Order: sequence, then structure tokens, then C-alpha cells
Amino acid sequence: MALTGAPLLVTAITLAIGLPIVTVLVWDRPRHKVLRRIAALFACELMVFAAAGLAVNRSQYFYASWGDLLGTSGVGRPVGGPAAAAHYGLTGQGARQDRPTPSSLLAYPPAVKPGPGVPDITQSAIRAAYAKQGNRGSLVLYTSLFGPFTGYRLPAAVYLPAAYFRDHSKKFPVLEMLGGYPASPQSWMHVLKLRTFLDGAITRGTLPPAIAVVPTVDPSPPRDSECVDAVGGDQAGTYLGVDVPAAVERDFRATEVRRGWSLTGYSTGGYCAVNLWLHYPAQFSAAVSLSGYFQPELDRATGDPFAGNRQAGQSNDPRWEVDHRALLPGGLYLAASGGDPASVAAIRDFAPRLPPELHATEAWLPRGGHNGAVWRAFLPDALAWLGHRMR
Amino acid sequence: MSLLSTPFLALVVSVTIATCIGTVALWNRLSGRGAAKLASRVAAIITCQVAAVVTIAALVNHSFVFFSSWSELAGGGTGAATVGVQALDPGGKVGGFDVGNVSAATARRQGQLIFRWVAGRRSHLGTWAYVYFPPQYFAPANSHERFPVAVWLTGYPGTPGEIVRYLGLIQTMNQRVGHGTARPTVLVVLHPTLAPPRDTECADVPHGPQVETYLAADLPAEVRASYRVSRDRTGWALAGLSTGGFCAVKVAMRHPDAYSAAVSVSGYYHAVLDTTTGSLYGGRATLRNDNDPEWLLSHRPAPPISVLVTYSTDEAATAADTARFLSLARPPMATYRLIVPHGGHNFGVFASEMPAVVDWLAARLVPESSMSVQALPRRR
Repeated sequence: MALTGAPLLVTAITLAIGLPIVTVLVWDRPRHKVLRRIAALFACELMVFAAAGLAVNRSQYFYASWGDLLGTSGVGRPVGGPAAAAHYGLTGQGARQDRPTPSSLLAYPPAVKPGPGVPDITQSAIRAAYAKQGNRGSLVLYTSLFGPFTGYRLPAAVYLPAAYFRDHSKKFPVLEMLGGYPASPQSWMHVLKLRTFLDGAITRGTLPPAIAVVPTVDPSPPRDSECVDAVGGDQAGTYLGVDVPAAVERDFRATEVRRGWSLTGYSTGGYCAVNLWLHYPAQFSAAVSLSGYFQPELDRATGDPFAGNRQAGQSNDPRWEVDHRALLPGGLYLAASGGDPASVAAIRDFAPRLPPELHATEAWLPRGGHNGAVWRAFLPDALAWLGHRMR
Repeated sequence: MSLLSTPFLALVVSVTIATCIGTVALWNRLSGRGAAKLASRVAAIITCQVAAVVTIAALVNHSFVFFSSWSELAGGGTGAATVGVQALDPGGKVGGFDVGNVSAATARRQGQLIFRWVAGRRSHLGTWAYVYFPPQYFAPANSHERFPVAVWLTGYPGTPGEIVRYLGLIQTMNQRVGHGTARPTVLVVLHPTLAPPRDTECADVPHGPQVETYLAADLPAEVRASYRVSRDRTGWALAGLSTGGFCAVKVAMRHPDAYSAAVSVSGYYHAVLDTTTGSLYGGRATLRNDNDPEWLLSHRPAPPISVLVTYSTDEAATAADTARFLSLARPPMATYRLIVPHGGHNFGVFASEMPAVVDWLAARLVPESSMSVQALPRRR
């Protein structure tokens, strides 16, 4: 049974009610009374927690599959690696070892067909999907994005505006949307209702028609990648900052202009957006952080991605980066809500470090905690800010 | 009991412990006939389990602050329909002041600076603003006096924090009051971008944000309802920097019933339309003219307000704009100018103009009570 499916939840609820019944029935049986009673109560407890957990996961899409929850769906180590790079004619560049520089990004051949064994998002597949919904409105594709530098193939959701299907010569700006932890692409689509807000902003004219891509942020769930290139581990930063744009430019009519590319994220995704914007300034011109933070937060879920390496830790600490490095012009939108004091404190600490020419905008909701309702409340304003920057 | 408070956590933990212990202790009491006995015992177990789940949820929420209040948990939303774009000033001191409530002794000595949301009843807009109360506001002798108000508007982009920190407005006012040349005034500092990211040039946009209504009606109403301030136009002035200066002059000219004086520090005097403003006036020339101070002076009776304009000779465009505006002014609108010999469009220059601005305001604004404990300021 699927992790987020209804049958599993119904089963869990049934057991959560049934186990107590069984417990009562076997309560007074002779032999091993104490052991049986404790075991029975423990089983009841577990079942109630499981049912509650499944219900919450279904609504928030933290883990989209059993593999995500149990850690079997992840990449662990790069899949494909050198072979994948060869498909794109990149042998000899050593691309998989080094972080690709902006110049090597420009050298990436734009229209190379992926090799065998790699899923292909064909134009006919897109047209077929659009035809299935009557050739009207915007389209959301659930697919996967293959990254030539990391070799990862991870699930993603891609939103194509209605204008994409009307004007076949136009190239569109791209919004890369990053979820929190834990999250799957469905978190942005179903909990934050991204499609509704994008359709609304485009219709109202506050945002020009744009593609939105929601990649998977954690290559090896349940490990929290924090979107960084872990020393000796998952290269989530390269995947999100280099591979995802490359895949989108290959498979969709995406703009090559830096001004049209931006990163938006909530919670951990907000940290990701700002950190990736700092790392890949040639690719992204703006970042939006909704209730995010500005230094890596290491805990049991993240482990130590830097393996004690101080330079790696500093280069993934936006506060340190902003204090020590010259920044390219760009824009930051930082949002926090009054009921979430940690997010407010994070902005109060980070924003004064930014130079004025960076055009940092801060957005504030007086009430509201760390939840989807708050991020949905920010979305119209954040999308309008992005749209304003793209003009 | 708040959702995040310690008493609430203590309550759920206690309930969990009580129901679970109670289930075991009262097990044999839950007897009776077959089905009833089964049902009551199952219910007891489930109650204990659910209480445990609720406790864990409460602890997790306390740690991550997913929901900060009961109403938010119930889906009441975040309460604010519009997101306010504001700089979140660093916590603690701003411009040398502790923001928020201070002791009575501190307030009497240096005044009080607060940061609050000011909601607009008619326009349904809102924004964050600093409000500064001078030390005299807290003097027992002045407990019946209603103080004059100066509303300061930032430029675009700009933040109220900048005005408090870099303009030296508060310190200058207190110094000049000490000199005897200025009047203690309540200061309200906000930025007029109430519908971010659009620069609405403080207009009532057709089918859009009614920013002018907010500044002319809602803001004075809210401040009057909250604090001991003048209820008459003679106690209200509108001031601003750059775009804020344009806003101040325009709104005061169009609403002389709300404000009797306006200050424009390096402002301009004609309506601007660009990519940040969008189509402000619905493409209608009449509306645009009505929001253009120069056009108003040329085509309508002049309003009975006093206007102080400042600029530095190095700002060529501003100087030309201002000269044109001043040449169009006529009674009953009284205009005054302050020219700074050199310096550009920056806070250093603006701050240097503040002593004169503050003195000028004092000569135009009166507190509501006729019994002023200050010597009247010298006219300049």
C-alpha cells in the first residue's frame, strides 16, 4: 500500500481502534499477565501514533513514498556518474569531481539528447499530457530531472503556464521552488497550492508567464541535505544549482538570461534559496526566503555534511559569505511572521549585513507561525516581487 | 491559556498521566455486562493514547512554532490580508532608543519609541510605524495636554528605521526643545509603500489601494484614538523625504482639513509614472492632474496650508522642480524654502536640515490645550 494512500490510513485507523479492543479481551488471560498487558498497551500506543503520523504525512506530503521514509529511494552515492557525463559529451572535463564553474555551465551543449537508460521528457509527451486536460490552462507535470554533473535522477514537478502552449517560439523565465524538510515536490503543489497562486499572479499581470520547477531537495531521504554539497557525500548543491537548470533548459523552452532565473523556498528551502543564490550567481539573479534561516542548521537529520571542514562550513553560511565576499547585483526577498520568532530573529541578524545595492526586501506578517498558511499568505506578494524584478 | 505557554504544556502532560494511570487503577471498576464492559475499557485505553499523542504534538509545536495561537490552529488564518513590506530593524536599540515599553522614569527622561501596526479602517490597508513620544508627554503637568503630531514618510525604497537612525530627528527635536525653539511633538514614522511592491505615489488608485485615504483619514484617526494628540488640523503636519516629500505635499494640499503643514525634504512636485508605479490613474488624465501638485496650483484654488521645501544646490533636477513649484504657489498657501549650499541626496545632508525643519514645524503646529507650559517658540 502506498505511504500516502487512503487504504493504508484506513487500515491504521482500524487497527488503532481494534488493538485496544483486543487488549481488553486478552487482559485477564492467565499466564504472563504483566508482559502481555505491557506489550498490548505498547502496541496500542504505536498504532495510534502511526495513524496520526500517516494522517499528517498525507496532508503535508513530507514523505512521498516508503522509499523516502525508509531511506531506500535515495541516491546515496552518485548514480551514473562518469557514464552519465559521457552521454553529454563532457568526458575529460572532470565535471563530476569539481563544482562546475559558470564558464563550464555555458559550455554545456544546449540540445543534447539524453543517452539510453535516462528518461526523456519529449515534446510529444508534454503535448499528450496537455491534450489530456483539454488543451486549456496551465499544465503540471510530475516527472524526474536527470542531472549530468551529479548523475542523480530525482522526482520533480514542473509547472508550464498557459502561454507556453500558445507561443511556441517564446522562452520563459524559471522559478525554482525548494521545499522544506521533510518535503516532496507535492508539498509545494498540494500544501502551498503553487499552481493556484501562479495562475492567479499571471492572470492578474503581477508575474509574467513563467515556468516553475519543484525539484527534490534531498537526494537521500530521510537525510536532510540542506541543499549543500556534502564533503564525501551527496552533491545536493550541484544538483539543484547546476543540474536542475541544465535539465530544465534542455527539456523546456527556458530563458538563458540570468534575470529570468530565481530561487524560492520556505523554511529549510529558504536557507537553500539564499545559499544557492550565493553559490551560483551566474545562474540565479534573485532569491526568496519564506521563514528561512541564514546559516546551516545541523542536527540528527542533517548529520555533519561538512565533515568538520571549516571552509565548507563557511562557504555554506550565508552570513559569513555576505560578510566576506563581494556580491553580484541581485535581489533578496526575506519574509518572516510574528508568531515564528526564530524566523524574525534570523532576518534581524542577517539583513543588516546586506549592502544596500543588493535590493533586499523584507516582508512581514504580524501574526502566524511556521506553517503553510503563512507561506501561502506571502506567495502573492513574493510572486509580484519576482515579477517586478523580471521586467 | 496560550497554545505555546508552559501552563498549557503542563496541563496536557498532567491529563495524559492522569488518564493513563487512571485507566490502569480503575480497570476493575470498569466492569458491568459484556459489551458495556468492553466498550468502557476500550474507551479508557484510547483516551489515554490520544492524550499522549496530543502531548507529543503540543511539545513539537512548542519547539517548532508551527501554530502560534489557537485561532491559527483552528484555521483562522494569519489575520493580515496584506503583507506589510518593512525592514525588520535589528532588535533592541534603534537610534539609541530601546524600542517598546520602558520604565516611567526612562520615558520622562528621554521619551519612548514604539513600533506598532497601524491599521486603516476605511482603506483596509495597514503598515508598521515607529511612534515616538517626547519626554514632556509623560510629565504629570502635561497629563491633560494633547500634543501636536508630525507624520514622517520615507522615500522609495526606504525604511522607517532609516529615518529614526540616520536622520537624527528625535535627538534634534529634543535638543531644540531644550533650546526653547521647538515644540515637543509626537512623531509617527512610516513608509508610504502600503501596497508593495508598487510605488503608488500616495494616490487613491482606482480599483486599487486607497493609499491617500489611509494617510489623510485612517492614520490620523487611529493615532488620535490611541494617544493623547491634537484632534485639530492645526496640530498635524505631514513631512517626508524624496518621494515621501512629494506624498506629504500632495496629500496635505488635497486634504487641508487633515493637515495644516507639510515638509518636503528634497522632494519633487509632479506625478511620476514608471514601471514601479504601473498605471496609477487608470490612464485617466483628470485623475493624474488631480494628483499633481503643480497642476493643482495652476488650476485650483490654493489650499490653506504652510509648506516648507528643502533641497541642496547640488541636486540640479530637484532644484529646478522645486523652483517651478514655488513659482506657482500663492496665498492662502504659504511656502518657505530651505536651501543647503552643497551636498547630495543623502542622509548626511537631510540630517543637517533637521534643526531648521523642527523649528519651522514648531512655529506652525499648536498643541490642543491653550495652556502651554513651554515658552512660545521664536518665529523664523
